[in-house]
Amino acid sequence: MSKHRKTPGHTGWLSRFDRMSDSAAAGVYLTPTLILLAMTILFPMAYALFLSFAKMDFVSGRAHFTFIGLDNYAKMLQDLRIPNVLLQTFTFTAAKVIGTLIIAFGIALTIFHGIWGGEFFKKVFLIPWALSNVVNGLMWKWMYNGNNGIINELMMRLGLIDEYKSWLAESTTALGAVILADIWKSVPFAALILLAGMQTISKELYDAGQVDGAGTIQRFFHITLPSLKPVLMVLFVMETMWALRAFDLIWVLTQGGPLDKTMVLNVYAYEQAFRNFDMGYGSALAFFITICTLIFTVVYLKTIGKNE
Amino acid sequence: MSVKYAKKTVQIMISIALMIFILFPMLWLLLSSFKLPLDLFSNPPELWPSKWTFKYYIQLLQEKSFTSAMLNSLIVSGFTTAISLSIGALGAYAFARFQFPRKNAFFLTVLASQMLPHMALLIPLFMIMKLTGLLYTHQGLILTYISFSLPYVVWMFRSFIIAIPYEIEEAAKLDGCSRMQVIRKIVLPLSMGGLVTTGIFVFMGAWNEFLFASAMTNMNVKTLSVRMAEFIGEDRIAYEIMFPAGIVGSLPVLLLVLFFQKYIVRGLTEGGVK
Repeated sequence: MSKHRKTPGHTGWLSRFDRMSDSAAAGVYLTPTLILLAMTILFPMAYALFLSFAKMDFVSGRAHFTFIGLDNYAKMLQDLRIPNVLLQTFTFTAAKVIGTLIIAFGIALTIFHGIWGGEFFKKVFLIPWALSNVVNGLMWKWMYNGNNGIINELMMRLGLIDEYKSWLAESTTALGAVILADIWKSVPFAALILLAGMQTISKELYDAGQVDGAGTIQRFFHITLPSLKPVLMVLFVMETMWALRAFDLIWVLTQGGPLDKTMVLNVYAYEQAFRNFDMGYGSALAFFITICTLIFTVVYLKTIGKNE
Repeated sequence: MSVKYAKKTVQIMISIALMIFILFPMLWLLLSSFKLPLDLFSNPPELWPSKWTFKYYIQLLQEKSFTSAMLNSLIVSGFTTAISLSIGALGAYAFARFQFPRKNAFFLTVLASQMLPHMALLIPLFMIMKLTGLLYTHQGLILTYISFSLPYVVWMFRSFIIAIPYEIEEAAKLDGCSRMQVIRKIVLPLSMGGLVTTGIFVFMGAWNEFLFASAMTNMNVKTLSVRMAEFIGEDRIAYEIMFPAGIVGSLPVLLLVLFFQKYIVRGLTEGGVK
C-alpha cells in the first residue's frame, strides 16, 4: 500500500476521488463548508425563530420554554421604549452613513488631487479601519471625558464652549458623540473605495470636459459624481448594514445610556436577552433587525448584479 | 488669479482639517500611553508628556490577566484563520471550477448567510453552546468565528481562483496531477496574495470581535477585546494601564495590516468597486 501511495492517481482513495464526476467532487469539496454553515448559521436561525415565539424560564437552573405564539412580537408594539429606540436607530444609521460618505468623499478627493496621500498617509490611514471597536471606544471615551478630555480643551480654545462638558453623559450630546466616534472608524474604508472608484474614471473624460469649457465644479457634478454612482450605491448599502448591526462601540461608550439616549435596536436586543434574560423578546427584536437587514441585502445583491 | 488662490487655500484648509480629524485621536492615544498619572489627569490636558514613561507597558506585560487574554486571542484567531482558510478554499474551488446542479442557489445561500446580523445568531448560538458544553471554551468561540468567516473566504477566494487561467490546471492534470495536487501545487501558490489578504481579514475579524466573545467567554478563555472592555467597567478605571493595553493589544493586527498594506488595499477595493 505504502508503495502505491507515492503515485496517487492509480490506487486507493485518491484515485477513486479523481475518477469522480465533477459534481461529485464539488460535493466533496463543499461538504465541510455546508455542514459548518448549516450547524452554526441555518440551524441557529431556525432555533432563534422558535425562541422568538417562546418564553424562557429557569426552572431549578435549567432553561424551560413555553410556546407563547406572537406574544413577543406583540410586546414590541406595546413596549414604550421602542419608539424612541427606533427613532435613534434611524438617526444613528442615517447620520453615520451620510457623515461617513461625505467625509470619505472629501478625503478621497484630496488624495486623488494629490494634496496629501504619500506612502506614509496611506499606511496611517488603514489604522482606524484595523483598530477594534473596543480600542476605538476606549480612545474616544478618554477624549470625551468631562474632567480633562482633550476635546473639551480644544473646543474651549476655539471658543466653541464656555466650560467642560461630559459629552457622553449629557442627553443632548451623547448620540452625536457616539456617531462621530463611529464615523471616525468607518471613514478610511469608504475613502479607499471611493478613491479606487475615482481612479477608474478615464482621464479623457475630464480632458473632454475641459475642452468643452466645463469648470471644476461642473466637472465634479457631471463627470465625477455620475461615474461614482455605482460605487456610492454599494458603499451606501454596506455602511447601512454595518450601522444596523453596530454594537461594540456603543456598548463600550455608553451601553445605550444616558436615559436610553444612545439605545439602538441592536443594543436593546442584547440588553433584553443578556441583561434581563428575556431570550424570547431578545430573539423577536433580533428577528426584526434581521428583516430590516434582509431588505438591504436584497438591494445590495441587486446593485452588485447590475454592476457586473 | 486671486480667486484661484482662494480656492486653493480653502482646499488645503479642508484637507488639513480632515487630516487632523483622522490622525489626532491616534496620536492622543499613543501619547497618553506614555504618560504618568500626573500628566494624564492634568487640567487642562497637555499634549506632550512632561516625563515619558514605559513603566505601565512593563507592568502590563507582567499582568497575568492581560497576557493570558492575549494568548487566548492568539489561539482563537489563529485556529479560526487556519481552519476557515483550508475549508473555505476547497469550497471556493468547487464554486470556481465545477458545474453542479443548483450551483447558484448554493452560492447565494453561502453569501446571504454572511449578511445575517450577528445579534440574531448570538442568542441561539449561546443556547446551543450551553447545551453542548461548548460555552466558555476555545472550541466554541473558534467554531462561531469560522462560521462567520467561511462565507467571506469562499466569496473572496472564488474570485482569486477564477483569475487563474484554467489551462494551467488542465496541463497539470495531463501531467498526472491528482485533483488535490492541482490545488496544492497550482492553485494555492498562484493565489498566494489572495490567501494572505483573506487570511489577514479573517484574523483581524476574530481578533477584534467583541459581541460573541463577551457573551461566550469566562475567566479561562477571555479574549483581549473582552479584557480591554473591562478596563472601563471596573470601579476605578486604570487609565494609565488601559492605554498601553490598547496599543499592545492592537499591535499584532496593525503590524500585519501595515506590512501587507498593498495587498490589503487591493483586497478591500476589489470587493467594493468590482
